[in-house]
Amino acid sequence: MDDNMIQNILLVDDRPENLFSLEAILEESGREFIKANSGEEALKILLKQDVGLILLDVQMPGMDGFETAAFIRGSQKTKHIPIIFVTAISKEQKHIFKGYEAGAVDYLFKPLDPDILKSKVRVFLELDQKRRIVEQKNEELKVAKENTDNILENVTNGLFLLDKNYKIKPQYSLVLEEIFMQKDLGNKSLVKYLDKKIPGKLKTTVEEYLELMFRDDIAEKTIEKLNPLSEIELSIQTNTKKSPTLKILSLTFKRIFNNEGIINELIVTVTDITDKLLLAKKLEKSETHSKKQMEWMFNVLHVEPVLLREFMGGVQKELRYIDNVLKQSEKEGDYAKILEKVFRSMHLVKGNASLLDLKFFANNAHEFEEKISKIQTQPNIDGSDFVPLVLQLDDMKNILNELKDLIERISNIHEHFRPKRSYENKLFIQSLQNLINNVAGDLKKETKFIHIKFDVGIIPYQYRLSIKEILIQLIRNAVYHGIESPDIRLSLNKSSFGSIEISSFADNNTIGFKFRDDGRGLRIEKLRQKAKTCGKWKETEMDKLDDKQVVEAIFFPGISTSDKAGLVAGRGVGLDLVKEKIANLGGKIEVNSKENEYCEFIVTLLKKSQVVPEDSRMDILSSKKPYYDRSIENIENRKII
Amino acid sequence: MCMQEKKKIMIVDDSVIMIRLIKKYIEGFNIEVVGTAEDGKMALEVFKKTDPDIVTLDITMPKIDGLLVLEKMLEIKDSTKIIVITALTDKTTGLKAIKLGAKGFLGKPFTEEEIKWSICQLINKN
Repeated sequence: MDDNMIQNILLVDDRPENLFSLEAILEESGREFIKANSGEEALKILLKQDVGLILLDVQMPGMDGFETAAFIRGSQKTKHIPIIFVTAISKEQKHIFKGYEAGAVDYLFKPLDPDILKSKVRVFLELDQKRRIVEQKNEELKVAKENTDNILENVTNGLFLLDKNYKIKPQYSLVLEEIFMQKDLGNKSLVKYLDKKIPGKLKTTVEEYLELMFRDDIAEKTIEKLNPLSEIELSIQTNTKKSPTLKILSLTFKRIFNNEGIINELIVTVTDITDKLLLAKKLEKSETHSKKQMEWMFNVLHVEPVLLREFMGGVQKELRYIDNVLKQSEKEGDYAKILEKVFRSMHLVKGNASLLDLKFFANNAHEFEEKISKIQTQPNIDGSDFVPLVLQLDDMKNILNELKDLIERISNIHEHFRPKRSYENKLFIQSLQNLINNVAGDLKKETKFIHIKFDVGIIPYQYRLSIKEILIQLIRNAVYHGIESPDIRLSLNKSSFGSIEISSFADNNTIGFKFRDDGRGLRIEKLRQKAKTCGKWKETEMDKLDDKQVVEAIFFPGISTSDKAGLVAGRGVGLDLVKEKIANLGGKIEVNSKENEYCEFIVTLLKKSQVVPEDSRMDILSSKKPYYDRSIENIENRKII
Repeated sequence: MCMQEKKKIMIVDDSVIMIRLIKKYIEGFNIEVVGTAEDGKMALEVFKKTDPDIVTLDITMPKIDGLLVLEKMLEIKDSTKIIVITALTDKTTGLKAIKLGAKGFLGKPFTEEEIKWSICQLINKN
């Protein structure tokens, strides 16, 4: 009970001496007396003041005690105030008061006995105080309940308490019924509810999780991340619909402890994340698509149509090739060899895509390569492992078709466009410059490209595609492996810019080019180690190999001194491709290198060799005309790259 | 934060890189790495030899039931505090491990902070 509570007592009597004597008798700490000389005055006071007890004289002029009491009882605000009538009416006339007996009413008869007066007043005041406390508590409870009801009705999350038997307690938020698509969830088991809506195995996991959530010896944080219902797909079958509704819900659980610190129940919040998730997926898809479109638009507008057409043709050719190889895989059966073929082909696509800065396409090709690498590590490969490859190949074909549409629209504008010789050189150089910038940018390296002594005009048309591809490979290797990062270069007293230099040469019978970078050169010892694993030489032979032979190892498949495969290089395909290409052209390649200083490749080709087109696998190229006899127009139509 | 009597930890993971990583993460702790193992059989041998207080155990090792290793370790010394590591998606195994007596769980991929927190928790708890 509140000790500071002051209780007001209203004394009503028309005689001031009576008021005075009542006050004198009842005077006590914690009590305040308010005096009124008439019924009317008493009512006025009651309008303004909070009173705990009224002592009311019955016989008063004007409004008498009974009338006054009737008014007091009639008002909502004052009807609960206990009244003690003070009267000189004899005890036999008690029945007069009958009408008031419902409330807390008592009677004191004059002459007043001070002890009786005191004790009665004390009892009534105590009663009043208790009533007030109860009332206050009720008020608080009412507000609390209203708040809870409000919350439970208005929250958008499902909210409920789960008891130790995994039953949903009856007071839960309304929206839960909507989310769970079921009414009257109170006292229903959560596990039972989930039955047949989630896979059976998961149900067991849910039970295990709930069991641990109720175990006091396991910290909540320990199993925080093990909630199997944090993102759960529910298949809800209702009577109204034939097919079940699919919902993705997120349920989170928190422990609620009782006063003794024992886990009493779990508070569970349920959020319907179906829309959110679907929307996110949709958004991601449309973002990817628009990103792709934007990228293409940008590239297509900035890259010359000739280069784009070249690219298209090249990729189309490679994809068709891969398609054929995969189709024949059933018959052939040598899966490792097939994967190797496919990988090489896709590697070319990747290179060409990076060359034109078509990152989206390059990423796709890279993903494809990753898939192949993954299959290659499997102990037993069979035809079904190729399924993801076939699927992605389809994706890439679709992308290619979209790109083709776009290019065709743009090419129409340039229909009569024919490159002039100087312009061709510019295009050739520009595309290589793009590649260097991209690769170096990705690797945070600084480069300068020196091409002043390079003239694409001296290279016969039939060689250009191949030479460009060789240069692409050499550039990738140089920037990735050769050129050091700026800080390392500075520490070696080199310029922070690594230089890549190409120059061309020609005499009566031969043409060729030199490619040189001033990076760290070939690392003979590392190559020697790698060469041991390539399978070309036996262990016993290895020690006898001289440096020149070791250097040759870079042209074997699977050799890369980089430990990690990136988008740029590092898978060990590259230089083997280069060598193969040069061999197909009937030429040769020479390597010179000095550690920490430079690495140089010299490629020499015969001017008019009877070259078997390396791309004879392509039906588009299977013409009876000698390869080198084709006109410029034909070369363009052949979609070379 | 982790300043008590020096505890002994053992790291079991089939990836050497992961072992190296965990070692690096707990460098600053008052804790000694007494052993590492890359498979279950080796794990039990090292466990018997080194008697660690704490073990981080990747239970998704190939060719061995990680849960069995966990059980065996607790059979040998039931006060061992074992943090199991598994793929975050494999909650069933995680829950089973906790039920069997593992004291912590980490789902791959985890952050440096998460593994530090888990180990620190166990060092401070007696």
